[in-house]
Amino acid sequence: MKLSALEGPNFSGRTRQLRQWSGLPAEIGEEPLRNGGAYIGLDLTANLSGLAPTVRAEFELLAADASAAQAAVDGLEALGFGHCLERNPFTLSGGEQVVAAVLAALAARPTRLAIDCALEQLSPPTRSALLAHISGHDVEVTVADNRLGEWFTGSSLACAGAPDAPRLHPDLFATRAAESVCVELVDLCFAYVKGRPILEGLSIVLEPGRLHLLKGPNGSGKTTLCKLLAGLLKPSAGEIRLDGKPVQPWKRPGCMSRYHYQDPDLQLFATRVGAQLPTSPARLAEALGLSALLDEHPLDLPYVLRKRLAIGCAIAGTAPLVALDEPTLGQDDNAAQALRMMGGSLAGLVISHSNVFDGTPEIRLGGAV
Amino acid sequence: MVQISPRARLATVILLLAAAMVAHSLPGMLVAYGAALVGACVAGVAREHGRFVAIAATPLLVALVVVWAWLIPEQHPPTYANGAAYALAAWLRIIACGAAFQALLIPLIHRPSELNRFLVETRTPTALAQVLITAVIFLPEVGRRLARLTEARAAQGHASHLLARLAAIPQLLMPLVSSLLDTAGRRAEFWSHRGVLEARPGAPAVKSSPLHLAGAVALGAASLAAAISL
Repeated sequence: MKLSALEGPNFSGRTRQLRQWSGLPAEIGEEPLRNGGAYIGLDLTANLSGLAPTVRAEFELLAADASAAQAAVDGLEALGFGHCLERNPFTLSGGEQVVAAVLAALAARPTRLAIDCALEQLSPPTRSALLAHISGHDVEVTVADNRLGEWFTGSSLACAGAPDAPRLHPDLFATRAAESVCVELVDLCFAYVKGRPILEGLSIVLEPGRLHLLKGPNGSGKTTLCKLLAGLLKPSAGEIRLDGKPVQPWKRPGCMSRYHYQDPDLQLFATRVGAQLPTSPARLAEALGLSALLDEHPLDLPYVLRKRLAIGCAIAGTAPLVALDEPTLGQDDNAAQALRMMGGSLAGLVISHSNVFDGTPEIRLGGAV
Repeated sequence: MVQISPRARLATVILLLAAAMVAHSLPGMLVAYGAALVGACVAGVAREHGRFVAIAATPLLVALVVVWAWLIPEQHPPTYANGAAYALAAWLRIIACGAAFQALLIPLIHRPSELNRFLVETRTPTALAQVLITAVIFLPEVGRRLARLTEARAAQGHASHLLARLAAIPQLLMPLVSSLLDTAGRRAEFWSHRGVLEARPGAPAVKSSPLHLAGAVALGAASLAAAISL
């Protein structure tokens, strides 16, 4: 494997370069070039065929031959994700989907593999193990990643940033005081499939008025915990207490905690950016670097800005807590640091595999990270 | 599910349908239905067929008996002893055709990879294959996205009871349609780029047992012969 990296801020054209390098056209709609390339981006639905009912079937569908499909199966098991083989790819967690997508791409024996920010969704051990696995293949890999400094030691090609790129202004948001409520989770249990609990007997206390960094391996239940807190799922056992009193958030979802999904799409409903932000849209839009786009349609924005807008929806809500799932995904270092500053005015949970939120109180799920 | 070559399955279903159509007596119809039922079981759609018989076909049987045995009892073809026998034969023909269609279509619709294999084997043009597959995965995709959009609205504090969910449907349509179109474009790009809809010389062959293959076609042929001779 030959590994190289593209470095640069948002709006520096990294995605366009990577797409073209892998054989995809600069814009969707033109005919791709069949140069033996494969591209894996942040839009997880576009990294999978959508045809296979299981991950194993996805490998068989995309593999160059039977031995390559078997190698992908073996690779998934070796990386500790063997339990995903018979699952529908769309039911996997974000990190599991990335691992499956990379192995499925490798099964086609590509000559070049472009990975656009997708590795940001992996925990450091999973990312290292996956890169070690890729190194056993005869493939040229180019990675664009906003957290390259945390793991990449080679030389990288720098892309220049756009001077007029929208910047965040966290100081406009950070004046808000975080809600001081005490949340306790007592012996919380949850299982998507009966008999296979993803959370079992989880007991934690969230310090009042603090954002907590939720860490754990991919598939350890971080998103599930955030959804339980937001009332989007009902625990199979255990209790959630707010200021010492038992509460049932699933009876009024979104009232105790607002949840920001990892994928910004499918959570933007308004026809204008300004209408999407629930409170003080002008000030919040300025804080998020969206003030010049208040009249734009949310779905016309690029991924990076859609993500910021979706974060804005969650943090500007009236619920006392927030649960932010990978808010720094796809955001460059400046934006990530700005989001961290904004997090100082929030209480609740944040999921992140990067070092951006280091220093905030940590909650670990599923053993060592 | 037993892996039967898509071509063999298509041939078997055509034979089973032909048997159901040419049978002209109650025993012939019973044989045709029996063979179609075996085909449905082999294709793994017995449960769906049971539902079809219970929910759709049985009320139809009652209606047919009422018509041919009571309302116009003397109008049945001479090969049948009475109107009730004719009604039963007509019903058997319908459920035999239903079983044959279910054996052909349900595995293709429930498992788009099967449909992909079918399209590759039948050398369907790529553009047409893309349209067909997109159509087949459209409904599950809509369901998945609608569920996610509803959940996301609830996550933003909107009321989530049934009435509120129904009232919110117009607001969900725009992001739903937009994301479906976007994903369809990206999927088409993915399929073209990775060659998903093209026969790859080294692609892993799905194991189709020759016994199942021959058995499936023999079943259809035998039922056709029996339906003609009885």
